[in-house]
Amino acid sequence: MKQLLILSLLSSLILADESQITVKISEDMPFIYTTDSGKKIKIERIQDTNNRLTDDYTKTSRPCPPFCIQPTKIDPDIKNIAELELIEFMKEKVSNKTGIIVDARLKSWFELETIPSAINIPFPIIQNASKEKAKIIFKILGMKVKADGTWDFSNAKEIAVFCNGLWCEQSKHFIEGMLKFNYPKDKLLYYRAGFQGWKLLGLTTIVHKEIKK
Amino acid sequence: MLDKDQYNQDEYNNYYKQETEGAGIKGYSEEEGGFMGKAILALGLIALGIAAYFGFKIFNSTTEDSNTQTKNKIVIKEEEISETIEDKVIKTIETNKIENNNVAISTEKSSQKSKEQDKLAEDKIEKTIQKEVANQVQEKLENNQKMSTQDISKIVDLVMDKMNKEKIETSKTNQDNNLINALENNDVDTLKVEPKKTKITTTDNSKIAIEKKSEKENSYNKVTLDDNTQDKDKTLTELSEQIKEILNMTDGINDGTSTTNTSTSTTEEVSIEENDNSSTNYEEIISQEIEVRSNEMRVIIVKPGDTLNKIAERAYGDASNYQKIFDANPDILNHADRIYVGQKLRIPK
Repeated sequence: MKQLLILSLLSSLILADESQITVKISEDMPFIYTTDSGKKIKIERIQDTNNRLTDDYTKTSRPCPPFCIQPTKIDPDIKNIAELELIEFMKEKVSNKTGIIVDARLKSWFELETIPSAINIPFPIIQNASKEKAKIIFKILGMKVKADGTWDFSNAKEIAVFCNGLWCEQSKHFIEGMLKFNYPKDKLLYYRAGFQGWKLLGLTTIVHKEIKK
Repeated sequence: MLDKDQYNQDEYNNYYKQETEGAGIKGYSEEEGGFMGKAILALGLIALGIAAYFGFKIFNSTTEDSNTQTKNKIVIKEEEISETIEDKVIKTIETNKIENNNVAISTEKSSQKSKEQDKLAEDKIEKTIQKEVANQVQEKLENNQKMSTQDISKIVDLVMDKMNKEKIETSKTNQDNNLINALENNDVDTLKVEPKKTKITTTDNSKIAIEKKSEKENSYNKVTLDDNTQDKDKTLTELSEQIKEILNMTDGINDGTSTTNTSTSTTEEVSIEENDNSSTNYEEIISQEIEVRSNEMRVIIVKPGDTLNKIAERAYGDASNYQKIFDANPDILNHADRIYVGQKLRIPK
């Protein structure tokens, strides 16, 4: 009887929590949980319906080149994804360790603010890597070296890559670097809207290095 | 020896001569030069008049443009299009209305009957609109005429009008919270920010300060992570650490040429491109951009004794700039004189 009471109390609490969500991720998904640096992170959207972005990521114009509008596809065989697919990727691939989200921006960008559960592999690392270094990186990503020395990508992780967004080509450089060393195209996903797209929807972000005055 | 007046007179003559020579054409006499000067002056005046006329026209057009374009928002004014689909449809509607009214007037005996007739007439008009639109589209397609954007937009307008009429009728009885209602009721640009119902306490309220300090998640949905977090998720963290090691191993990010290909791997040989200047340049530029961004989004944590004035003075060297900070934090600050210890405020550049 006690258990029943506790269960009903808990369920009512959960329901109450969900009913408070005005701005859901999607109709049937109010929020999700993921992990970053060992901490459980709730990914939800900003609930204040009057909230607007103020300074960061509201900038419309940066010089082009290099901050040019990016084409839809980086490679015809690399799948593009959007926010819901990325969240699904977090729920399924990141949680069961078959996939990782890669923030391809430079370290300073990553530290300032990023998407929860993302790992930073700055694009120049792979773009300028020697084959030996690429091998090390790929091994970390689950690639195996067979006895005959060939690279086996069958257990390599799926990678969802993003950078700053529609005006940023850091993902492109990262993906080109990966392809240079034959990382399978079907294991690469491109989140083109990038961090700006994520921010624009008021989704939870992570700060690794807070700027303090 | 010249006296003073004479000297001035000569000087004046000398200047006058130079002016007329300048205005005239080389080789012409002084008299001819004067005439030519006058002629050119007259031509100049005419040219000025023409220029002013055209200039006025251009100015008018540019001022019109500036009225319609603000920050890349272009307001397209409705143009008058002679004999568009809409005109034809309106004509048909009007003739139908007259016919139907005549029919209604001649046959009506009671108000109920007339209402029914009106409804029938409306239905007929709607059907006529649809038919006419379809006819026009068909006609255009048959004649291989390209539908202009105006034509398409007019058709869409007509269809939307029809839908709206239907919606108004149904929404009276059924106020469901559908997407159209939500979109129409939430005119974002007219929304007023309602002040949050929060308990206002003193700035030094230690309870709030503690709560705010422990609260890592703020209203921006930003979670600040400590590096010393315990019970780290091994896989992701290890992966992250390993990548960091690679970062250190490569001695920064530009070390792409230090190692040669010594692998025993039999996979396809990959040519390693040398670090070219363009990629290094790109990295430099995006690194600079992050500095710009850092300045744009500087976040400070309110300390005991802080006021917006004091923060403004620290940030800009001028306490009177506090409004800038207040404006940048609309969802955190309701009053410029009420800030709390532990609050994270954005400091715009």
